[in-house]
Formats: sequence, structure tokens, C-alpha cells
Amino acid sequence: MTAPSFRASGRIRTVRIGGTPADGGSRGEAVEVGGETCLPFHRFEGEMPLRPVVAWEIPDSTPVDWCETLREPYAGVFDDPVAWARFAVERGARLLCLDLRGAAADKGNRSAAESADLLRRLLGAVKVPLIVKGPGPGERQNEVLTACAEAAQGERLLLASAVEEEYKTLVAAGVAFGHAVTAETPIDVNLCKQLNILMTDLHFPPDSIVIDPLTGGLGYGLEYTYSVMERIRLQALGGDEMLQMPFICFVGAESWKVKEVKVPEEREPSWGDRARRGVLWEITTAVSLLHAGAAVLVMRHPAAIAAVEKAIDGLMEGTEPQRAQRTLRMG
Amino acid sequence: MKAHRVKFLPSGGEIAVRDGSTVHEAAAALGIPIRAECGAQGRCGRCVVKVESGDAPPTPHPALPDERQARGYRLACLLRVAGDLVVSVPDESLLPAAGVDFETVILAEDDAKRRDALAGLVPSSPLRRIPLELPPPTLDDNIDDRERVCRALRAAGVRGEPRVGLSSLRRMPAVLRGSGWKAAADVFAGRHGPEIVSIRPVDAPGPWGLAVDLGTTTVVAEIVDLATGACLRRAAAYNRQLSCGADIISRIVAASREGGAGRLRELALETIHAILDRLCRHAGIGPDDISAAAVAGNTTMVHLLLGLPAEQIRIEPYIPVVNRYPVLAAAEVGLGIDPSAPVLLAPGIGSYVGGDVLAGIIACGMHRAGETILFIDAGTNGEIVLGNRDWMMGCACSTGPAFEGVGIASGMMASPGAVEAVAIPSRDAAPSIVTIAGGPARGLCGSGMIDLMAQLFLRGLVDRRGTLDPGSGCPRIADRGGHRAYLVREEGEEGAARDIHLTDVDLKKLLRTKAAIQSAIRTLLRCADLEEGEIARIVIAGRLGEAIDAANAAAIGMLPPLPLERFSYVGNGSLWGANMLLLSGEKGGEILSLADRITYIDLSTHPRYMDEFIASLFIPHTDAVGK
Repeated sequence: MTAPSFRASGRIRTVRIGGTPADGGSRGEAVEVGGETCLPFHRFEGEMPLRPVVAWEIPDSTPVDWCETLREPYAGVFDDPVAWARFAVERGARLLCLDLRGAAADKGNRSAAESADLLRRLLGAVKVPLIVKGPGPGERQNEVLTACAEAAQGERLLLASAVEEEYKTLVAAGVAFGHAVTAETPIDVNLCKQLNILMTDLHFPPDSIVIDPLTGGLGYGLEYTYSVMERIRLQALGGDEMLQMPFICFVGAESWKVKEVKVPEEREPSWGDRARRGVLWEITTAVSLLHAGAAVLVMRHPAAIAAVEKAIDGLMEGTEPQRAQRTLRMG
Repeated sequence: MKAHRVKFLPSGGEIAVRDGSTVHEAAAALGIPIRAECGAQGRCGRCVVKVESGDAPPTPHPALPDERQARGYRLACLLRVAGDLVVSVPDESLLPAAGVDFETVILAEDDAKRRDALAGLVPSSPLRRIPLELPPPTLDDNIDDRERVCRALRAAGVRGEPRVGLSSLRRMPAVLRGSGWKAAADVFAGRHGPEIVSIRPVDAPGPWGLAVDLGTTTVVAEIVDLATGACLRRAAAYNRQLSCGADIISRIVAASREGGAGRLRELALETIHAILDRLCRHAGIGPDDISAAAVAGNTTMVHLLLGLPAEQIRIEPYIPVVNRYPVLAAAEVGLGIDPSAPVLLAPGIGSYVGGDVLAGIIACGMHRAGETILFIDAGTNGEIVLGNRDWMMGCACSTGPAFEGVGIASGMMASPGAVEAVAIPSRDAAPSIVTIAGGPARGLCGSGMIDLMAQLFLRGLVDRRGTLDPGSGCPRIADRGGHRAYLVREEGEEGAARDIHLTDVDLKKLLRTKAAIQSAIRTLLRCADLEEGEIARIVIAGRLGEAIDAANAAAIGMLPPLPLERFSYVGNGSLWGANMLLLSGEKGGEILSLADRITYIDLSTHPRYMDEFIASLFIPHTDAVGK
């Protein structure tokens, strides 16, 4: 018997992050994501030319809300984003995500100029491409990300995130300074498509959009995101051009805020070692989303990142799903 | 219990209310129609009043900024009376009243539609007036009055023992003797035999019937000559239940509160009586001269009129008390016509599709057509039926009252002065407008709103989410009441009686309205596994009617983009249905049997509907791009 196989009529667009000297930037190498003509890792049915990428999250200021498990590996660089970025790159990071959380009024109220300056220093310190995440939709984010977009002209950043209520400024900054932009919508295939249409209506190139479908950590609506990503991807592969964009998932931020990674072992002995539990939580969330089609995973814990990189290697290596699963188990 | 006096300006009406009642309740008790799209729940912010004297704590609401509160403005539904008060009610807080010219101009246009809809109907009303040969009683011929009338009816060919109501008996002796025994009987062919509705002098004009379209927002009624089928007079008014909420759900909620059902029933009756009063005055007849009535409305409206508990319609599994209503006597219903007059009610289909659509279906011939027809009644409760002679499926969607002028800043009923068509020649130019009856523009009615939305979109002034683009630099985009607005006409501009604009908030409401209709149509098509192109004809009923520009409606996605010749308009299908019940036993039977043939699709539990709705909250539709 021959197993039925899925043939796509569409292809996911390839999005390039990072400007090399040829683009007028200073990155050593650009990162490309997307390009699939098959469901995630179904390379027996089509092409999946590019490897999903893990981006290391680099907070712009001391992340006082990070738990003990997350602080420990970054002990020497916790207060210094530039050193933190170098630390990540030394451990193999190909992509970083600068989180401008400190620009929020209640988290430091850092000015747009200060944020842009930090970005410049980071760009000088490391050669890998950068995602720059604003403090959240609104005036402040528009101001800060516009300043960063201008400061990093040619570097082809991925700016995060445009939302339905606030997308025009980010799109304008992306067009003016040649950056890509993430499009964030609340776990809904229609809203996702609508925002992509709105952005491209402003002549923003569709191959500069990365979809953030929004996710919760494992146990917090992950399966909801999973099926919405699946629907978006099926529609995209079926030929819907306004959904043919790669996905980004902010895995770290979501995984490390759940109760299950915070409660100490003394209070819940059956839950086991808290540190191990947290790392596993981030891994499981990330690997699930990889299977749903995530191309960029923004993560936090080095051990979780290492495990997920290994899982990606295994999944990309195998042409048969059984083999990929075996690799994952061994990893 | 402490009581306080509340006086309303400018009417000067005054009433004593219990401590702690709201100003809105006080106004309602006086019959002052203060708006309350939310059902006086403190949400819609439309019931603004100004406190002229007396103690009134602030009523916080986004619609009332602090500076207005400081000037004494409050929300009537949140303001509890704790002492004597004098409040003034600004015009914009009052429900708009439908004026007399509304009837003469607009409703006259309905005459042609009425003729088309009732074409081929041979008047054979179940209520007949039968002249009686009545010899005066003598000592030898001394049977009672009732038996004398029955004997004459038998002689006139009426079969079966006629039933006579008490009120009819009470009036019988005076009419018989007053007319010198030259009388006629209005006899209704009831299910269980003939019923004598009333005895009238043989030369009394008539018999008359009252046909009522009981809409959620607009109520229209006409007096009909039951012998000839002619319409004597037609009139309309906003449904007074609007003060208890703009949509069906808030009405049901209002009715479920203590005393609510009685209140809503009274308001429905008051609305009909106000129209009836005008009709009778203009026609020169008395309400008692009307011997039969028929009412068509959606399931909820009819339940509320009858004082039936309606809350189960709202709660899963959405069960109405009754879909096939018995024939009731006017006195039972509370309708102020001849107390024994039969009241015929158009049957419902499922919980939200009412008898109001059945006539439209008969008028357009869907039940006999080989081709597939899409029937749309875009009232406050949108009702849509798709099918042909082999199958029919229907659904209802909550479109809201926006198209009827309620809840839209410059909205008004389709009446003289309403802008019914808009074209925007270029981005910055003043739009060209057409008003009903050609007078100065006073506001926007539904078709004008659809045109405007489409034209704004086509000129790039509104984006696909229905938001006005502030960056367009268009000189006609300005601030109105704290919202971005497009100026159709500024006060003082040529051809305008007042400032007419459409705000971002209005656009959002219109977007939801169009999405409700569009997603309902798409869901029905999907249930039938049909493509838009397979619809042979689209028939539009309701107040929006012929004024709709199908191309503009298709541009925003509200109607399928089909060639214009496939669209037709039946006018007020609900009212024609009521006429059919009154005028023809055969058509009435057809309406009843049709109700059983339509499969009801419940959108609220349909797995795809919500998805379709979100996809439709986009101009023209999410799937119109990228595929």
C-alpha cells in the first residue's frame, strides 16, 4: 500500500534576516528562514530547504523577573547586554533577539536614543543578525523601534511586533530602512491573514513579514496555537499567498512565566527538581511548535537551546518521520 | 417609601418616583422615549440628560468626559433619583420619531411593491361580511337575537354552528335595532367553524383589516379593505421597545427582568396603537371598525407582543414557546380594534427566523422555482433563506439596527431628507448625494451608509478594517465628538440641513452589520455546497430595499458580486405576508405549509460561523485577497 502524500501548490516565502556588507550592513552572515513546500519536516512530501533557527533572548536591562534557574547560567553577564550577546554567540548563537523591555514606562523608561545606542553597541560587538523586540504596541514602541530601525539601516533587522491596531509606523520604518517586521495576531487564522494584507497594502514586501501567531507555554493554550499554525500552514501551502510567511514563536518568555517552572520542589515534591523542570518545559514548548511549523524560536535557557538545536538537527537529518522521532528520543 | 419628583424639560412632564429609581425609568413611565441601545444597562452612553437642578452624583462613562459631567450631564440609566430633580433631555438622546411625511412619501413608494407582491392574489379573506335578511322579532317569531342572526347566516349559506364572542353579543342588540334590522355579520372562517366577529349596520364601510409588520426597530402597519385587497392607508413608527435595547437579545434580557415582559408587551402595543391612531384618523374610521388583524414579525417580537416568556429563545438549545400561533382574539392580545377580531400571526421557523420572511419567499416564488434563489431580509434581525422548489434552508443573524438609523451619529430612518445615495468623485471632493424626496439632507439612511462605506473604501479613505485613514490628508476627515469622522456635509454647506458625518465608531458598527450578513450568506452557501455564482437570483426585502446599490454593497462584501440583473427587490415582505394572511385563506395556508419546508440552520452553534464572521470583518473579505 502506498501512503497518501500531500502535495502543496504553494511555497512559504523565504525571509532573510541580517544585512551583510553587500547589503550595506555589517553582519557576518544572514539567516534565512522559510521556503517550505511541505508540512514541517515532511521532506518526503516536498522541500524544507532551511533549518529552523533558535534566537537567544538578550534583555536590554537586568531582567529582575527572571527566575533562579534562568539567572544561574548567565551569572557573569546578567547586567550587561553586550557581554550577554557575546556569551550567546560564543555558545553557537546564529541569531539574537534584543528585548527592549527597559523602554517601557514602568520598566526603566529608557529613551529611544538610549535604546538605539545599545543596539549600535550590540551590532558592533557581534556579527550575527538581530531581532529587535519593542516594549509592546503603542506610542513608545513606535518611537523606540523607529529609532532602532534608523540606527541599523542596512542591517536588516527583524522588528517585533506589528499588531492590527498599531502596524503602520513599524511598516513605514521597515520600508524606509529595509528591515523585516513580525506580524502578531491573537491565535486566529483570519486575523493573521488580515494583518498581512493590511501590511502589504502599504507596499510592504510580503517576504519581509514573519508571522507571530502568539502562543502560550506548554499547558497554557499551546495546543490552540498548534492547531491555528497548522491551519495557517495548510492554507498557505494550498496557495493562499497572504499566509505564506514563516512563523516566529516567543517560546522563552511564555515557558518561563508558568507556575510549573516557578514552584520549588519543597512545595511540590512530586514535580521534581525545579531547574530541570523549567528547562524541560521550555524544550517541550519549543519542540511542539517546531512541529507546528515554527521557523524562529526565541528562547532563554542555554541547556534548553542546546537540546532544541539537537532536536532540529535530528528532524532535519531524517527524511522519514520515524527516524526523526528516534533521534529526538536519543537527544 | 420615600418618593421624589422628577421634571423633564423641554416637555415639562413631571412624575413622582420611588427613591433609588433611575431617571431613565422615570422618563419611560412618562412615555418620554430616551434612547437606550443597550437596554438601559449603562453601556451604550446614548441616554445623556442634563441636570438643571437637584442632587445628581456623577455617572462615569467613556461617552461622558469629566468636563461634560462638570456641566451637569449624566446618563439617565445610571442616575438614581435621591431627591427632587429637574433634567433636560437633549434631542440627540431622544429616539427619532417618524414623521407624517415619512408615511406619505416613503410608504407611497411601497405601493408598487405591494402590487407586485400581491399580484395574482384573488381576495378571498377568511373574514367575510355577510348581509343578513333579518325579520324583526315578533311574539310569534320570538327566538333570541343570536339565534336570529345564525338563522340568517344559515340561509346565506354559512355552514356549521357559528360561535359568537361575549363582546360581540354585548353589542349585538343595539346594532340590530339601531340599524332597523338591516345588518351584516363579519364572519371569520375559523379552524373549528365560523365565528361571528361582529354585527354591523349593513351599510357600514369595510370590512377592514389591520396588517402589521412588527420589526425590531421599525413597525409598519396598514389598513386593508378585506373585500378588495386595497390598502387604505399605511404608517410607520420606531418600535418603542427601543428604549429597552436595540437588538433582540437585549430585549429578551429586559423582558426576563421582573415586570419586564409586561412592560415590553405594553411598549409593543403602544407602538402599534400610535400607528393605528394615525391610520384611523387619516382614513376616517374608528379602531372598532377593524374586524381582523395579521401580524408578521420575528420569533422574539411576536413572543414579546403576546407576553410569552422569551428567555428560552436566548438560552441553549434556543426553544421558543410556540412557532405556530393559534388564532387569538384582539381582546386577548390587547390590540385596540374590535375586541372579537381574530389576530392572525405568521408562523415562525426555528428560534430566530420569523413569519416575516415567509411572505417574501412566496412573493419571489422561491418555493416554486427550479433555479436557486437567495432571499435576504436585512432588518435588525437579519433573516436569510436559500433554496428552490426542492429544498430551502434559512438562518438568522444579528445585524443590529444601524441600517435603520439607530446607533449611528448621523443615522436616520429612510424618510424625507435622508441621504439614500452617495458618490465620492475624488478623494478630496465633496461627495455628491441624493436625498429622499430631494429636500435638504438631514442624515444617513441604510442605503446611504452602504454607499458611503463602499465609496470611502474605493477612494482609499477607509482601510480594509473600516478605519478612516488619518494620513490621507483628505480635507473632509475631521474630528466629530472626539472621533475621526468623514464629513458628508458640514452644517451650512449647500444642500445640508445639518452636519452629516460618519465616524470611525459608526464604521465599526457598519462593518459588523455587513459582516453579519456576509458571513450568514457564506455559511448557508457552504451548508448547501454552492458557490456564489450558482445563485440565480438575489431577492432583497426590507426597508433597505431598492435604494441599495448592489455594486457598492458587493464592493464592501455585504452581497455576493453578481451581475446587477440578478438582483430584485420585494419591499416590505413582512407586511405583504401579513396582507396575505388577511386576504387569502389559500395564501395563508401556503405560508403555514412553507414554514415546515424550511430547514433552520442555527448559526450560533454552527462550527464555521464564527470563523466566517471574523473573516468577514474585513473589506471586502479576508479571502478576497491572496488567493
